[in-house]
Amino acid sequence: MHENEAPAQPPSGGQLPSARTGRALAATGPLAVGGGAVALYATGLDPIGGNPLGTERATVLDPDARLHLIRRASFGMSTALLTDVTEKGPRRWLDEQLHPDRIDDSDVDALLAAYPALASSAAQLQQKYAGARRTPGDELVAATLARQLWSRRQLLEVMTDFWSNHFNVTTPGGPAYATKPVEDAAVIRRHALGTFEDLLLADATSPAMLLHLDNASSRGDDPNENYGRELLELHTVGIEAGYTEADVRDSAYALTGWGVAPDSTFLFTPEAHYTGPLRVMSWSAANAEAADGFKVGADYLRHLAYHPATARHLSTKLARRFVSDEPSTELVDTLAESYLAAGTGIIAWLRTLFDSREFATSVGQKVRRPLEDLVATVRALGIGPPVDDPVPSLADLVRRSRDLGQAPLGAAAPTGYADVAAPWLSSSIALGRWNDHRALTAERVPGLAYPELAGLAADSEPQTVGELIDALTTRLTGQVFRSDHRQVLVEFLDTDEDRLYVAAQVDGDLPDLIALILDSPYHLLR
Amino acid sequence: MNLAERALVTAAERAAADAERRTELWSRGFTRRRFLAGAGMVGAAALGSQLVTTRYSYAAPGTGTGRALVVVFLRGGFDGLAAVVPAGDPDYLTARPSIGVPAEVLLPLDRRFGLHPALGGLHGFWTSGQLGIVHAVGSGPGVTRSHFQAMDHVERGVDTPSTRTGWLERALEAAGPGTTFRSVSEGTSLPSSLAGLGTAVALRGVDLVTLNRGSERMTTALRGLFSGLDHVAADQVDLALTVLSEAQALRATPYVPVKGVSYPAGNFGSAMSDVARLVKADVGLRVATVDVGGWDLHSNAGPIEDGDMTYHLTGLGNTLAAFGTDLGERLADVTVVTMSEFGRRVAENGSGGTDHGGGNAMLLLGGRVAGGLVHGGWPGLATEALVDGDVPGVNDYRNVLAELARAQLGIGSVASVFPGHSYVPLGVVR
Repeated sequence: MHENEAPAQPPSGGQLPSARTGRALAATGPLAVGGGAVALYATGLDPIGGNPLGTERATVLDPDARLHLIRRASFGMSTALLTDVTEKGPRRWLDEQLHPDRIDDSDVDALLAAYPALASSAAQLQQKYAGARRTPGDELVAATLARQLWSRRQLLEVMTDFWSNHFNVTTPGGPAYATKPVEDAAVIRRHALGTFEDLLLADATSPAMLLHLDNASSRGDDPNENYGRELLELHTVGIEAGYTEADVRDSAYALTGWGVAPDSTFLFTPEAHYTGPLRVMSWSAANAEAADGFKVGADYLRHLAYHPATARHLSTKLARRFVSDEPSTELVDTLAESYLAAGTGIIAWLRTLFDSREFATSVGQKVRRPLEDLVATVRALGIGPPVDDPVPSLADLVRRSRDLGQAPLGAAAPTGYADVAAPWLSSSIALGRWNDHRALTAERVPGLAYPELAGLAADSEPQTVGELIDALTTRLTGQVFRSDHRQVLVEFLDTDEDRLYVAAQVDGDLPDLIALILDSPYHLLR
Repeated sequence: MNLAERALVTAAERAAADAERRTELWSRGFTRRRFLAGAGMVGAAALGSQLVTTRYSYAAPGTGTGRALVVVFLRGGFDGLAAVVPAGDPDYLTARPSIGVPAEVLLPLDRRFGLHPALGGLHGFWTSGQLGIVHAVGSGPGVTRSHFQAMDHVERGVDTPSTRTGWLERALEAAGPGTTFRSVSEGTSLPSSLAGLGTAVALRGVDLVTLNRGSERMTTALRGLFSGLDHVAADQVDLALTVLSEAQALRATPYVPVKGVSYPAGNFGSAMSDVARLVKADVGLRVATVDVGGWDLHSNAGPIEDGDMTYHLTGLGNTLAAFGTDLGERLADVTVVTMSEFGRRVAENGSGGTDHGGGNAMLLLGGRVAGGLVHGGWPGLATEALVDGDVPGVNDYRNVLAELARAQLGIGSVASVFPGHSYVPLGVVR
């Protein structure tokens, strides 16, 4: 894992003193509220260490920096995670997460032994699974969910999800069924915290992508535009870069001959490569020799990786994932500069993001999408992996995520899943979320290691009903609810907050009470 | 487990099986595609000020009965040239030597066109004058060959990014208030065409509108937990709880299609069956949307006997035919229209498929459709007639949709539905 934390490029025009920290934003950004606040910020206060401008919040969520970081950089809080972040401090915890190989993850690795497809080559997969009911893709989807639920390398899982969605190969099913697990390990996970340049080249040569978007059957004398188009629109510069249909055609031509060998590995076939001059926006190549077709294609991809439009497109998506649905132009610009200055390095780019003032002040601006809600529910409840065969339990959870419209790796369109709230707010999804909360508090998913619900509050030794509710909301969402919302829960129990907590009277209601806490905005927002 | 719970579990299992089946079979292209990014629902403040939704209730039978428009969106780029084949055009088989449909297997439409045999289930509706077609439909100015951009344009119904609402939402606004079920998306979420106030209902079949352990005490608490929260999520909580309470009576009677009708297995079949159920239940349904994926066939579309295109068209044709037959006399009130973001390139590519193209075909099914006709202009497939290898979109999709919206929703002017567009009816409605 390389770092690529090159020093920030000197700012153009001299307005931005530091592209890496984004601190200059305080003076010009839309969130600047006054001289005092800017001064406070300019003292060098650590943005991930706290929110200096708490008054800007319009959310019910607690702005505690640890909780904020956990909500954004992981798939949701667990007691162990909160303890970890508290002990190390947000900055050291983040450092560690940016180097996942330093984090022991042997428990989840042991669990994944139930999915042998993950450790197989594409050729083995093809042979072994021909005609099998459960495909390598099914195994990968379940394993992906297992890692989101229980891996300690949470930021790696978030970034793996981010890049899998960016380079979406619909899984399971489709022509990439035998190759996607290989891509997941050798492309996405390997480069998730490396450089985008490496990631893009690895993806473009991965059989899963070559098959999924048809480049494997694109020939110089009869090109298939599918990959060449999505490479520009989705993977790199974005549609706003203003390329033409002629650019799309040459984008496809540049990569003709890039295909898949019978053993499901990458194969360049010079005979299938188009020869002749190529031009895609500012990139051009003489492309005179078919034998040089791989070099030409690789040069084209490197050009795209470093294109300023790519930097902006990717930075917009990153900010949308971690900060808000509509990140500011200033933040996107800062991230784009950081991305280019670090040679497309992803770690430096993420540091810029987490150091930004806009990140610090964005508490509660994201809505958990259905899969994120489901995973966070299991994590908050402290539900552990099955002691026995994990396959049926995870298949049940995958089915639930699919019913919510967001199975892991399952986006049908090459764009991947939308990373904003609106498409995920519907009457159907609302009911689906609530039913899943009830299923999990009632132990309806078979085989999982469920904790005693009463035990979730036990550490605080609550004496009254009010204390019980506070203990539960704190355990599940990290905070005490606003008084009116707290009162709703008291009334649900048909009692007073000062009434003595008598387990025999209340514990029967715990599955419903806890489901309600998970239905609430304190779990829905992040 | 009592009977109701068992029914719920059965329905849930069926839906899960359907979803898995669809993912497995239709995975090559799209099943769902949501592009509300940046075109989200407006805030709570706007609710109520522009629209009063009178809630449907069984105590008031007959509310909001009447006509309905069902919009079936074929995600991924439908190949109108495979479905409605310009059989007599000498350039057709030249452009599609391996996947073109030969004239002898087509079902006769008019002198110019024949219907793909996989759509045979619909041919009877053509003969009876309830199926109309518009070919060479264009997706409006400024549309490119990007799925994302083209869907975004045609679902919002405008070519400017500033209008954030969907065309169906604006059509409903022009039609005036209605019931809870006046606009329903059969699926997990809403399409961009219904983006706006957030009053449209999304459901995966009436039978799945349930809340486990959802007592009144529970739903009261749920509402309470979102009180005082100025967030679109709070509006959806309110809507979901309203739908939940109103669907209760509707769910009580299991739906049985008319004798002899069986909807094809899969999500599209269940969705259309559920639309028929809502129509017949007279809950005030005016607009329903259904998505069908799998049309982005860049490779291996053939062969005619059992290829991917035939598979998808069979599902489409048989489901629409089942819906038409199931509705029976009620088809007089209902119009189904199929649309897509763009058509396919005239010439096939080297992978036995087609790349993104231009002009496309729309299918119109209903008792009020001027059926048995291919409407609008047809430029032909001669090289000089094509634009960048595409059939030019000589018939603007907005003219078709506007005419249907006027007929089905009783709207006068469609100026607010398709702002900036001069409406010219093609005569697709009787």
